[in-house]
Amino acid sequence: MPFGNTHNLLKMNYSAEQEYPDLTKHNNHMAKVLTPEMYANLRDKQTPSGFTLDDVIQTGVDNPGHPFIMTVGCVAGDEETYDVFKELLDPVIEDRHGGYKPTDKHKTDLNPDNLKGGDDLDPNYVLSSRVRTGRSIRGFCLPPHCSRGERRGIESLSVEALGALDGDLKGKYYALKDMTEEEQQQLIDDHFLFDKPVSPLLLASGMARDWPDARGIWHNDNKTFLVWVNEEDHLRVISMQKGGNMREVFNRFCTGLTKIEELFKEKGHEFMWNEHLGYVLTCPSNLGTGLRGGVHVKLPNVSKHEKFGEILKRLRLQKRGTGGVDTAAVGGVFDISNADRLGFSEVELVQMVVDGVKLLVEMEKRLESGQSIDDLMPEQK
Amino acid sequence: MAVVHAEGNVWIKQWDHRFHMYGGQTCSPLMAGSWDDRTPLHDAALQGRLLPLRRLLSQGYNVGMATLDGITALHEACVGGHFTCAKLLLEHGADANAVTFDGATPLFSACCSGNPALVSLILTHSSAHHPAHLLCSPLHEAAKRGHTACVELLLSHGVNVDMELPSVGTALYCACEVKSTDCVLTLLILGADVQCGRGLDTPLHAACRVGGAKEAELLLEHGADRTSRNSEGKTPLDLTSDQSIKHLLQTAGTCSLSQLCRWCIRRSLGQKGLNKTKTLCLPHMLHNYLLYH
Repeated sequence: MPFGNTHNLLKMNYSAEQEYPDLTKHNNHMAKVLTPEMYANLRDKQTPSGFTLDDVIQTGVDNPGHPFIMTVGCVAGDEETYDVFKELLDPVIEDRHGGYKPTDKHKTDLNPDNLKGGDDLDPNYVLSSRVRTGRSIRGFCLPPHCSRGERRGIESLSVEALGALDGDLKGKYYALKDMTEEEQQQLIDDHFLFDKPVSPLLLASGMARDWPDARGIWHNDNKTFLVWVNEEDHLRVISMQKGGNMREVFNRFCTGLTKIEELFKEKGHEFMWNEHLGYVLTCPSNLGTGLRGGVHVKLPNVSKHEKFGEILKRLRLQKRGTGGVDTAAVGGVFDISNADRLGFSEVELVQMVVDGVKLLVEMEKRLESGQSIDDLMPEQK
Repeated sequence: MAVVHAEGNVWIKQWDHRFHMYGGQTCSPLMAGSWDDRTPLHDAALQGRLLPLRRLLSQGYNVGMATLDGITALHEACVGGHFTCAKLLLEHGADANAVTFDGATPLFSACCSGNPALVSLILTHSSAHHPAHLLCSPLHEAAKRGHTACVELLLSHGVNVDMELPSVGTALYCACEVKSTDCVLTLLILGADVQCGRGLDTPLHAACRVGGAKEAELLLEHGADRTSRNSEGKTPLDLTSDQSIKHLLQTAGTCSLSQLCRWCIRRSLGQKGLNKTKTLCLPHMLHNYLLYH
């Protein structure tokens, strides 16, 4: 395998010092955590499926990172990676997830009835809402490490489970390699299609091997519930719709996800989950809930406020661009979503988005009419 | 040659296909994490890898390809401080006035890395007075990071030395906050108003707060008012616990008439006036007197 470190035994002929990667120019969590001593301790270990330390860190070694953006610099090849390489991954997780300790317990709450409000975000400002997460099927290796047979097995199981969905979740699967040009164009127009990654960070982890074998897209007839199969995770699931009814989005998200999980269980398979890390995904940055709940929201005035960054930080939200070559032409539209993944439940994270976006919209309206927003400044959540 | 030509066409089709698929974006925004949208072009530019950069561009890669946050390869070359890569990108039509979603221009990014040759290059292709700089100011970034040569370049291109950003202050204030002595000196000599800081907080307040004795000394030599009170009614002396600074503030005596005259003239001239004194036929002695040579 071009990405594998299958010659782990051969490497033992060289000293740990000789094998230790050059991390002098790196800026990622892995490089900050991995000492030569830790490398020496862990390098002869492997998971039951054969994933080694060098497999874990290869993407972080090959991609030094960015002066202003911290990546985690490692991936899991299977569920056991988080145990076998605990010595490395625990401090990475702690750094990345706001001090989450090895002894901490994660909370899972996929009951949409526990969400307060969320059905009334002003549609004049909130253009669309979505909630996404990932799931990994226990017993299979993760995308950086799985074999072609495993990947096909995941696709097969997923297609079967998704095919059993009915009601408003009824839909269709499109395998990337079998897509007609018309289907491809339609998925492009719907913004649903994904292609082989070009990001060097993703490629170096090995998750694009054999592309497009066993990759595909499923969506329901209403195009409000979408599943990507074998992209960066076994499953990427997203519920979305236009407007500001995040409650409806989250409801569909929980219902759909729960049904899929039940269908997998009927076939004798379950999702990777434990009480410490919650749902286990490929990238350590996506543990716990793996959830990103976000909206596209028009905030042309708030975004120019000197305290915009501070407001988002206090609300535990993050902003991203919405694409578009000239952001000015997009009229101050921001992708606002939760910043956390682990240590908070699904309901808690979506609640932060709902409450935070509501406040941001209120601030926007104030500024629009020339009023101050000083009394609306939030406390740190 | 026919084979090479054919290969070129295949590559162009591939990149065009991707550009079209995502509506001008680098990947689907639906699920993208914070790194999915960085392309090989961004990667090569950030790390200063000239060969793959040249190859990708020659194969028809779109030089203006931006991430979801509007970051172009030119931004990344500037962040990495890579002059040659930035030059190559500009030759292929990269937009030197491109603004990221966070308001950063390539000039801002170049000032982060602090490569003067690179800053100079970008200044020949873009405006030093871009509206985005009111949000992400290259001058403030250079001052904050102690990149004195970049500060000089920006000021020589007419950037307002006393530009005050809300909640950030002036470049001089920023330089004092991080105790960048060279930068403080350069800003003062090139015409920064010694009293302009952040609101009522003067640069001397900032220097005293962080225990910058050298900076405090420089500020006083250039006419800083020891008795200024900030919005909390505090003088610089009230903000310091550093004994040498206290001593400095308490013992600073009456200034000479010569010094007072110099300060008065310099304040009257301002940054632009000082810049133009070089073109006047002044005696060397007078010239050196005004410009602290």
